Amino acid sequence: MQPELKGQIVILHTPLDSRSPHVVLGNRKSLRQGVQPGMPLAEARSLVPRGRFLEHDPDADRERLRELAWECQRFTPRAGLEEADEPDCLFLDVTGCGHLFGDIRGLCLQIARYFRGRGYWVKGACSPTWGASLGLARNTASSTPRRDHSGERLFEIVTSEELSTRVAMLPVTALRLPVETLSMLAECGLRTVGQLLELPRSSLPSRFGTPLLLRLDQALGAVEELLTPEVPPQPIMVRQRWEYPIHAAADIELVLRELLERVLLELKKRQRVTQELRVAWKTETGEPEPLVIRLLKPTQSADKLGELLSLRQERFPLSGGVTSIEMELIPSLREAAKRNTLFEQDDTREAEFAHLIERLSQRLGEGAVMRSRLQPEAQPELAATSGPWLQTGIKTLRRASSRKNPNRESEPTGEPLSQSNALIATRPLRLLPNPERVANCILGSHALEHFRWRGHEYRVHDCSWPERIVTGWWRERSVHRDYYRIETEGGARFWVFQDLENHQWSLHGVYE
Amino acid sequence: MEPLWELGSGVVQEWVATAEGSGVFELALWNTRQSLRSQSIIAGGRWLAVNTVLWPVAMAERGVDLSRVIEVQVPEPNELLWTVEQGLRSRGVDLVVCRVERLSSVAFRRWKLAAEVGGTRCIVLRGADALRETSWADLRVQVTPLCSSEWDKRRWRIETLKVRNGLPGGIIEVEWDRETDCLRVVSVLADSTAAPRAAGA
Repeated sequence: MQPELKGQIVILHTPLDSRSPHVVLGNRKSLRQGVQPGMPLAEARSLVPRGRFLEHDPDADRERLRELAWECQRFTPRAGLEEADEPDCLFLDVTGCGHLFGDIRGLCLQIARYFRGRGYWVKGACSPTWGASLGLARNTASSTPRRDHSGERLFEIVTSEELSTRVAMLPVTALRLPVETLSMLAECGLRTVGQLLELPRSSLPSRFGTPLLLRLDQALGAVEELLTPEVPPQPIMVRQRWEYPIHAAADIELVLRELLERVLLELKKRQRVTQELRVAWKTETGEPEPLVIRLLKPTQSADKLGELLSLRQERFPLSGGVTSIEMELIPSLREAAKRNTLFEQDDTREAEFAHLIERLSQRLGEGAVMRSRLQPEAQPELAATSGPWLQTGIKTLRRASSRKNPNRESEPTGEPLSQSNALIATRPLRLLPNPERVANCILGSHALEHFRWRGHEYRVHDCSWPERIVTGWWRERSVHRDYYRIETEGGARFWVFQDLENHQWSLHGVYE
Repeated sequence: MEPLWELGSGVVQEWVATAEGSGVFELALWNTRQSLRSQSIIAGGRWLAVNTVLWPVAMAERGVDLSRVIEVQVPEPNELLWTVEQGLRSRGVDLVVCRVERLSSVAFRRWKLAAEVGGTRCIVLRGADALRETSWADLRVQVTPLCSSEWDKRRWRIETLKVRNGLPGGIIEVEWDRETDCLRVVSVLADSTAAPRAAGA
C-alpha cells in the first residue's frame, strides 16, 4: 500500500528492461485519460505526462492478496485466491456464515465496509458457484453498482434459482477463457453465455476447445470447483525448562542454539521462511522483556539467526539464573524463487546491505538505525521523517532494488518531492533540530549585518533575497518566516530566518 | 569532470573543517559524486551515514537516493567505532560517511584495514581538533571557506596534509559553480607592482 499515491494517476507497467515495455494496468483516472492495458509505455507517458508510472510486481500482488485472505478469516474460515497465474480476486466460502452477520446481505455489506475502511475499492458478488461470482463481480457490478442508504456499494447476490438466468446474461469474457477461445467466439458472433447455452452442447468442445465446457459447467454448478484456503501461518514454539537455574552465558548460548535448530527444522518441514524470532525468558528474579529479532529479508539460515541472537544477547545480558527459555518463530511465506541472471552481483550486495541493517539494528537497537523519507511539507523541520529500517520492511528494499537507475525515470522514485525543483537545491546539508536564536543582531544594508551564535561573532559578507515560508492556518501553530542564506566574512554559510510575528532572528541550517 | 581525489575501493578520506558552515561536506560530496560516476556506479549507491545529522531534503537534492541510505546515530564512542567498522567490512555498502571528534590511532588503523577488506569507500568528517591526532587515512585535507563572488559559487582553500603515494603540503584555492557543478582552480592575480619593481623602474 502506498497511501501517497491516493488521488494520483497511477499506471503499472512491465519492466523497463523488457523488450517492449507496456501498460499492465491503470487506475480509473488513467483510463479516463485514454490509457489502456497493453498500450506501449511511451504512448501512455505522452498521454499522461504527470502520471505515476510504477513497475508491475505480480509476486508482491499475490503476496498481498494472500495477506488479505488471512484477514478475511474474520468473515469466514475458508478464504483463498483465484486459481490463476496472476490472481486478482479473493474467493470467500461464506456457506453457513451469513447468520452471524444478520443475513448474507449483512455479511456482504460488512465485507465491503471492511475493505473500504482499509482503503480498498472492491467489487464483489455472492452466488452458489465460484465461476458465476467471479463473472458477476467483474461485469455486472461494474456497470450497474447498487448502493445502500449510506452510499456503500452492494454486492450482487444471486440465489440458486436465479443462477442459470443470471449466468446466461453474462458476457463470454466472464468465463475465464483463453484469449484464443474468446477471439473465436467473437468471430462467430457469440457474445453472451446465453447464446452459448442455446448451441448443442456436444458441438462446443470440437469447435471451441474443452476449457469452454468446463468453465460453463463450473459457472452453472454442474462441476465442482475446489477452493484452496489460505491458512495464516501458525507460530512454531519450543520450550526448555530446568529444575535449577543456569547462570553461565556459554550454557545459555548452547541452549539457544539447540532451540534454534529445533524451530528451524520445523520451519523447513513446513517449507516456510521467517522474518521474526522471539525469545522469552524466566529468571530467578522475574520475567525480563522478551527478545525480539526482526529481519529485513526472510531466512531459514541458522547461522544468520544465531549471529543476530548473539549480537542482541551481548547488548542485553540477563540478570540472575535462567529457569526457562521459550523460543517462538513466526513463519512467513516462502520468498519468490530467484530468477537466474548472468550478473547476480547486485542481488548479493543487496542481501549484504540488508544483513548489515539487521546486524546494526540488533546491536544498537532498532531505533538507532533509521531510514528517511521526504514529506510534501513547506516547514523545513517537517519536510522529512525518519523511521527504523526494520519497520519499513522488505518491500521498500525491493522497490529500491528494482530501480537500478533512479535517474532514469522522473517520477517513480517514490519520493514526493521532485529533484528538479530548483528552489530546494539550495537547502543546507545540516538542519538544526530546533531553530537557535542568534544574539547581538545588527541590521543594515543586508537584512542582517552581524550576529552571534554559539559564542562566535559573525559579520555578514553577503545575504540572499528572502524566501518566505508560511504554513497553513489550519495548523495548531503556523509559521511565518523569511529565510535568508548568508555568507560570513570568513566564508561560512548559514541559513537564518526572521520570525515575522516576533521579528526574532534564528539560525536554522548550516551549509556543511 | 574529474574529481580532485579519486575515491577508489578501500580508500579512507579524512576531511577536516576549520569552522562551522565551511561547506566541507558539500565539497566531499562533490568529490564522491565525481568519483562514483567515473566508476560507472550511480550516485544512488548504498550508504551508511554515522552521526552525520544530515538533512534528508538537502541530501535528496544532491542526488543521494534516500532509500539506500542507512542513518545511524550512536552516542557511545565504542559503538560508533564498531558501527563504522561493520559498514566498512560489509560488501553491500558503497560508501561510509561518519563524523567523529576523537579517534585513536588504533581505531583509525582498524578502519583502514576494514575498508581494505570490504573494498568500501569511507569519508571521515573531522573538526580542527583532529589535526592533533595521527591519521591512517589515505588522504587528509583541511578545508577553509573563503568569501565568494556570487551565491551560486563557493570558494575554498584546500590544504593537502597527507596523501598516499604523493607529496603533502600543496595548497590550492578552488571555486565550485553550483549551476554547472564544475570545480575550477582559482588563478591568483599577480601583484601588478611586482614586475616594474623587479625591472628597477
